Amino acid sequence: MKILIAEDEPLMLKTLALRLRKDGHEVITAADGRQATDYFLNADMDMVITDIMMPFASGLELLEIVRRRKDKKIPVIVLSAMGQENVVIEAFKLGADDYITKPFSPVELSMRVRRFTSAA
Amino acid sequence: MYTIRPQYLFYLTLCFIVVIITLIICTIGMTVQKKRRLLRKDKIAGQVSEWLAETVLEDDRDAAVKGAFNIPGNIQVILRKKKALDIVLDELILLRKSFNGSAGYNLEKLYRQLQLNKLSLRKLQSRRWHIKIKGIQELASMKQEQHLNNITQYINHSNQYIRTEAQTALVRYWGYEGLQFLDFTDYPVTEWQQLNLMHLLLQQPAINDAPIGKWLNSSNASVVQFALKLVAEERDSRHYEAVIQCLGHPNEGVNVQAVLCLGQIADTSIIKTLIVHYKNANEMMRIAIVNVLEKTGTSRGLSFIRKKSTTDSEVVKLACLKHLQQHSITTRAM
Repeated sequence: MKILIAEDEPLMLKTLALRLRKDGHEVITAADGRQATDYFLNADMDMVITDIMMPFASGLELLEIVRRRKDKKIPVIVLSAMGQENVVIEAFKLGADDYITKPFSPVELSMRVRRFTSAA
Repeated sequence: MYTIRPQYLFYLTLCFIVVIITLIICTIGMTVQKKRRLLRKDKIAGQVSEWLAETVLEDDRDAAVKGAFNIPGNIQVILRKKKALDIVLDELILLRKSFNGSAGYNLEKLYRQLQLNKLSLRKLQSRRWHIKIKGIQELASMKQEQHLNNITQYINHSNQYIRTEAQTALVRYWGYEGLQFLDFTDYPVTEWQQLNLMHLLLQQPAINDAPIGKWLNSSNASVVQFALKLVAEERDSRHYEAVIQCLGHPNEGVNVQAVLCLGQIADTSIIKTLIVHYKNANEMMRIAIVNVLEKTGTSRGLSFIRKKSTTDSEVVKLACLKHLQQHSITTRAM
């Protein structure tokens, strides 16, 4: 599965990417919302994992762009911080498939990704 | 007429130019230094990030067998520099905010293994409050139980920021147990801090044996207010009598909070008690009582509000009318 991870915290991004690569996925990493949008528009992704708060473009903006694509249903998992419940609701309204609240276990993310992989 | 000699003007201009040039040189120097510092930081972070990510994801069982994480030779060389340790510490703290479970455990273990607690403890000795706060946050986020006393010593600090940070750290990482500071705090727990603590506690499992009764009798009025909020939040009717006592507390904030608390934990039998207290209550407390009476929805409560909507002060009358209007909208909708 080709997964795009958008997260502005470099070490966090690296750790999540490593976790998913260990699970056998192909991972593309983006350090901000604009970069993530570019990567998404120029590559055929099977899944998007995005943080909400990012420089240049937020996770919600990225989600909107993902949902504009009509030919393929791409699962989107949103990473939110505690106390961002309103934003999570907004993300679901925009079509997010799942969310994880920080702090979380990378194993948990791995399991959630697997759920979508097996469904695909 | 006063005239300035040309040579004075020349020297003044020269001085001005020298000052400007010095300022420009200083600004450039500082910018270059800052840039170099950032580049050095990025370089070290880049060198250790791969190893850190691997370590964080290491399987629990593997780590338990090994006892300690493997630190490759090249990383050991980097970690000999204090600057590198500072950077690693910052990275670990950032990650700890995002990860829990086995990854969180690995981060705590690595923190101990690299003896980064020494750096955090040194920050506590700093005279600058923001560095002290950083030290508190680091020790708490890495759940350094053995250094709990180092955090607890600041719960009564004269600096509000340090004090609230120590209190927050205790509650954030030790939940209800962390509230023990309420037994000792001499300074008022601000409204903002109370909100913050309530928010943190909502994410923690509630415990039955929190000494709320003791806090309701605290000599610190803000602690009593906070205890009332806890009782209301948990709908803990065991403290009913103590809350009733708070209606006569000398602090007005406590009175209002007690009324609001009763609105959460009591049944309609409270109406009589509230009406008795209404007579000697100040405006704030009266508005709170009217609020609770409206919520009970009883005819006695509503007729009391109706009466007060014409006979009390303007502010209370307005509150009464709002509640009556709200009640009629709700009744019509039903």
